[in-house]
Amino acid sequence: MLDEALRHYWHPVATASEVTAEPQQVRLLGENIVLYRDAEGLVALADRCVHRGAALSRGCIRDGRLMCPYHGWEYDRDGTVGFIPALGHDGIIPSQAKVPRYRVQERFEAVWVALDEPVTELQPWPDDDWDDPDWRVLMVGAWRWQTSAARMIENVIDFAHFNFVHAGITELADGPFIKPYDVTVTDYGMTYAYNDSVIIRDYHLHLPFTLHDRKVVVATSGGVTWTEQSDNATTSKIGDVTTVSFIASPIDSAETLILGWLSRNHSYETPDEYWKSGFDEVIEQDRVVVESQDPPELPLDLRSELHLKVADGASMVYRRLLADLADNAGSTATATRAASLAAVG
Amino acid sequence: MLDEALRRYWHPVAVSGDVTAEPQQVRLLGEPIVLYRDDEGPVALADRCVHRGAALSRGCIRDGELMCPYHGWQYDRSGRVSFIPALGPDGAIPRAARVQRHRVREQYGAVWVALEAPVADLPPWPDDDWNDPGRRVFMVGTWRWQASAGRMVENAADFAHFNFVHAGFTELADGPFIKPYEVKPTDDGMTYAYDDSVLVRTYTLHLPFTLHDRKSVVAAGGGITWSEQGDSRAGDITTISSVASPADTAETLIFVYLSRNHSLDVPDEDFAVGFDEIMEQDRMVVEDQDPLELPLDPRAELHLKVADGPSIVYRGLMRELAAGAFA
Repeated sequence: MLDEALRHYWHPVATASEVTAEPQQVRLLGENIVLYRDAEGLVALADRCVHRGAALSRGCIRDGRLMCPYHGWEYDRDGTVGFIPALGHDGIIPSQAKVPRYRVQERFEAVWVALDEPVTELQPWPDDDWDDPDWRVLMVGAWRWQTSAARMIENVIDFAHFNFVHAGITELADGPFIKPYDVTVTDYGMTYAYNDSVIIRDYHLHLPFTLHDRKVVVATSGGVTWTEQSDNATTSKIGDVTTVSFIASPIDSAETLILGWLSRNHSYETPDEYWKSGFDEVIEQDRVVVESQDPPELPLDLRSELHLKVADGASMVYRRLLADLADNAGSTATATRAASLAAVG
Repeated sequence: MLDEALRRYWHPVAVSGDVTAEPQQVRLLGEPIVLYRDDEGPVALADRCVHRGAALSRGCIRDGELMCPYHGWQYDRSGRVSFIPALGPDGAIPRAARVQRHRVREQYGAVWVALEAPVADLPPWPDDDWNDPGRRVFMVGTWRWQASAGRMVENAADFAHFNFVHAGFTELADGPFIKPYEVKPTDDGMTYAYDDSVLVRTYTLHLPFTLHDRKSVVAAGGGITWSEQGDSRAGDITTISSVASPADTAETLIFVYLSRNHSLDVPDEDFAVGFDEIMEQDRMVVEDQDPLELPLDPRAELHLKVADGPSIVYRGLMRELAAGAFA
């Protein structure tokens, strides 16, 4: 089961600044989670009171504990009930009076949750962008789509749709015909690159739902370089790299939270706001098409949709990787997985 | 299965004037359909690109062909892909690159689709109204209800609710007590008539979802004649026809027509007055019926032998239809 396997990965559930001392509900893989910050840091608990199933996120913090809005049961940050008003102060708290506590961490300006023991830690960006002083990374937005995370990721790994869905904005400079290119399976997912004569798009997919699209300028005219937005007319230079990264978080099988980042090794003096512009428009163009895809789940059986050997190469490998991930729910044998994929690929 | 049997009938999916050169999505029995008009007439294809499942109805027409909005695959009117941009102009189109084309025709001011080879023609009108120069037919309007087509048609076939749901509008002139009358099965449905002393309502149902309610004036004065727009006379006939189209098991598009052999000089609009209000009274009741599907098992709900006669027979006919009796 894909969902079962996905529980063993870290997924972003909110941007870091959205998470405050006030409890709020977020959802991951269909599970309701109550999320808040206390003096010790982040707390993520199952958002369902063990007593009558009320949403704890509708309660409040009292004496440093999360109080259920229905009968006032108070939960410690580890999910155990510390006080039940109906029993009084001397009451004995039943041993099963607790809710699951989830692993939670903050990184890349987001809050991440893993529902079960994660099989892999969060991975760095392709150029170690967050730690390398030559790179500047910023979050460009968060969006919510009525589709699955896998349909969304397949949309961002696909460059064959640019000249149709994003005509005039991010088209391939040398047109919609797709030339041969190689997709390489790695220990973390897959990688492939496509040269449209102006930029090389160097894609790195980390399973299950992280995609880095690393755009390297190879010619400074003839198409979109992603480095010409500069207010003070910084001219694009060969070697400029702009990495657009998307992480899709599976709220449930038909709803997805998308976080987007942009990283660059150039034009530091240009305000970050310039680099955020345009994303809303492009994302909206994608949303309309992807939400119309039927069914909303990504069909992992390759026979259920029609594939073009070259243009859909990345899509086919991605579907195989996810199918294999679903078959190996909970397994940490990524090396075995990569080897078996290399055999079928 | 009822849905399986219903795929073998023609159903209206859109008003003719709403079907233009621009592709749009309609739904029939849960199937998304892309509908548009080219030089040869209406085109109806499965609205799911064979490549990545995108809705073709969000695309546009290019060079006379339907282009998918996602990767620009172009479909001809038969549903075959004729061009795939990523393969270039010389690329070999895969044989599987096609979507299903649906049977489509245009009649009675509507576009009709049959998902499988139809077992029946379009429903006729009781007095050949569309071809009789002594009569005038027009489409009053369409309505969309969150209910099944079976529940909607049963509502239209039932006159025992008039004095409650439509009190003051279309009440039975002689009151809510229902006198004995006979429901006769026909080749493709049933017929029955009820005389409330002012009007004889002759109902003709054509399976699955067409109902004609032919109101013939027997005594002007004393009740609603449906021909008050002119001078009501005995012999005036006003036929209200409803055709329910099953978008899916919980949504129905309703086409309503009015035909008359009188007041031909009165504008059609004068006869369309009041339908919105009456349809709304029915909608509120029918959408609350639980379950949304019409229960075909006679034990599922409680029936009155006389007042529910048409309802009992209709459910029996639909049961036979679901079992393949009319195929």
